[in-house]
Amino acid sequence: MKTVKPLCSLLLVLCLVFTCAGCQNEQEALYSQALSSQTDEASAQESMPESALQSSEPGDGLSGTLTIKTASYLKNSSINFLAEEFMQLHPQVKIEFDYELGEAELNSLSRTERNMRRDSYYTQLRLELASGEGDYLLYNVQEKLDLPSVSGLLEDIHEYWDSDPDIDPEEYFTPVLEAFTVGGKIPVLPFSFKYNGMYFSSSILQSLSADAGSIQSVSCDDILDWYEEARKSDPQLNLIFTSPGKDTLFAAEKPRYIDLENKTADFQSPNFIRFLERTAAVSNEDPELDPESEIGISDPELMNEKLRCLYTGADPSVTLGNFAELFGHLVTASRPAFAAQLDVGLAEMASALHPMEYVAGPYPYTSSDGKLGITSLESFALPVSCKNKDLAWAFMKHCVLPRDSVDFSHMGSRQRYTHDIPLSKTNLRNFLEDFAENGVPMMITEPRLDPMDLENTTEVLEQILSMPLVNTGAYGVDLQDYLDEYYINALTTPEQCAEKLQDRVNIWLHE
Amino acid sequence: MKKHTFIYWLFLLPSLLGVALFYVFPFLFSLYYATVDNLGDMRFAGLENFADTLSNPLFQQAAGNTLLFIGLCVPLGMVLALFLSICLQRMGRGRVPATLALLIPLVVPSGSIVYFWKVLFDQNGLLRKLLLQAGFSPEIVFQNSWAMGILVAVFLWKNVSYNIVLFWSGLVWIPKTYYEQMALEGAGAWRQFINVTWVYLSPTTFVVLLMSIVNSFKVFKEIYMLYGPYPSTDIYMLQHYMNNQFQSLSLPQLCSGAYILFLAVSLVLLVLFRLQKRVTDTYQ
Repeated sequence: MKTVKPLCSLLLVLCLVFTCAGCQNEQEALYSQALSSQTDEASAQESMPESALQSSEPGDGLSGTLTIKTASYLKNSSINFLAEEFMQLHPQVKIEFDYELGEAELNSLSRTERNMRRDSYYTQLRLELASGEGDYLLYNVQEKLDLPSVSGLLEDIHEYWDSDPDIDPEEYFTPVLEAFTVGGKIPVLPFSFKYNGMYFSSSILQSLSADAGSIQSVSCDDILDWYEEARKSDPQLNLIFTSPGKDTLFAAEKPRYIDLENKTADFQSPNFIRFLERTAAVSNEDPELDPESEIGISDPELMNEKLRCLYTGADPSVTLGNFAELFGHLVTASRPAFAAQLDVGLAEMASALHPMEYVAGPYPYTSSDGKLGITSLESFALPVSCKNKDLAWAFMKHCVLPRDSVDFSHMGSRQRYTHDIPLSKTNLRNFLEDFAENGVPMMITEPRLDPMDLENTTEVLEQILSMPLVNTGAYGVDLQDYLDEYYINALTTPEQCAEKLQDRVNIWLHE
Repeated sequence: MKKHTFIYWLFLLPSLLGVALFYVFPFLFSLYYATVDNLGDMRFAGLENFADTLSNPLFQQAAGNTLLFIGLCVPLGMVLALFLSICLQRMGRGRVPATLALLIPLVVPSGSIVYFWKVLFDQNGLLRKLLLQAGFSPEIVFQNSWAMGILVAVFLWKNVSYNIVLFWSGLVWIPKTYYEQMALEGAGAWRQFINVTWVYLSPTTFVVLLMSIVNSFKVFKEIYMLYGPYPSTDIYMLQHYMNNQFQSLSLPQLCSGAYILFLAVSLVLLVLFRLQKRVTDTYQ
């Protein structure tokens, strides 16, 4: 015992000496590395010609690095080209992208895994915003960020929009901007948008004595009324093409029962319970389709081809052309359906003037109280913690301002500026002129737009945007578990489901 | 003496620093968060957040549910624990297995307990299947209004043993001669309980009351595991409100709610301490 104690002390001292010596070496190495990199940067800056430090436009003053943060890698997306274009205009500016899911992960992960990664990404994002570390510009976040709760962490775009002399409010579809308002502020700036749309089988509409040409908009109640009538003669008729789920209509109907302004919800009303009962009773089965890659592909062109093959006996491998390999099985094996739901972007809006043979639409698809949902995948949000807000706003403005070309051919790419409806009226007109000249870029056919239809299309859009608009992203409360419990697992009655939805939404509204 | 005092403080310093860093500073800093409008602008909002929180119907619902839960669990838990500890004390044979059976829920992890109760009370649970097989509608048990009853049952099952241990330690110290004396004077079991047990158990009862109130707040983890972060509004507690505010990083709302809870609990404890002092003085 007498010798053990001194031995242990000596051992401890030796350990401490070796550890400190090792750390010191490592620290010295790190220090010298840091010092040398700083020296390199300083000398590099000194060696840059003075002219390079000036911006390309006199008095521009834009410089620095802007990070654009988004959930998924955006291969061939217009945002990449817009960033490249902006950097060419402002050589002192560097734009970088920060993705949670890179290209390899998008290809290798399953849908569930991708959703889990996105959920953790948004949790991390909220943390960074709240702690003031969000030194970036957010792109395409509004669906998952629960805007009402983070609006204080995002800049009010109004302040930039109203004070910038380059922005002419008359040039833009301002009802769309108003729809994105949260608590009197605009936390998100979309540079394009889509609205909820629905297509129908023309023959079924005809059998119901509904004039496809005179329908202005359709509501959930209309769809269910027609469907129930049509089903009397064909009990196997599916409601939505490729059976995306019985809760498909719920998303558009949700705004009817949630009042964001007064923070009330009305899911326990008889109307909603009736809605649950009716939607649960629809036929929604496509057992021969692949659940991962075919279920839920509710494309109206494919539905049109399906009906063509059904009525004429045509061979889908012929009618689908280059898409036969990809969608041939879907067209062959899917069950006949009454409707196809697809958000209306540029091509869909323009193609309304050239109706498909067997499918009518698109029609604005509203909630039963007439609210039309709009969404934007090409939108920006500017965190309060972003350090270079001037640069961020300059880039956002660059994306929104009217432009001469609809694509990036001046940069060697045919990539279009957007596939959705641009916020700028000039940009919309440019696209419509391009459609008249080069055809509407649909998947299977490319109908040409008559120049005489240009004004008509714009007028129709203005009329549609005069409806009460709601930003679907603002109703981002997650109710999927309760809907699955009801529609898929049949564990709850409509009243129980309504009660659970009411409770959950009440909590979301008041938290 | 001064040297010794210095050494004492030196030994206490690490712990004091830790307490300051992890308790005192966050406590004070959260008061700052409770008085700003949001984390973006950080503009001073005074007592606006407190007023908004108090007038928030969800906060009121959560506070009401929490009070109801405490109001049910604490008295029931104490009465049951006292009864069981007296029974255990008077048992001869079988005391050890009975004690073991009662103490097992205390040492079993919450996750295991929740899993057991889920097997019974879940939508696909055993009880539902038994009721269906017996020809009864299980809906009456699985209505939202019964959720509070299920929670009270889970809480009592898990925590009554803790109170039994405390009561038992109090009962052991009561001299038996007092009971013998009362028995000689012709007092029955009830009189003996009132005049001896209840009197000498009053300090222990106060401790059990305090611990029961504290433990009733800890039931959140069982509720969370049973029903998730968004249960029905019948069992939506203050802890849910604060947990969800934390998840969504609404720190001003979270901190103002926490301070309101802190003030309410402080008031309750102050009243209890005064009551306890008065009772002790009376018996002395």
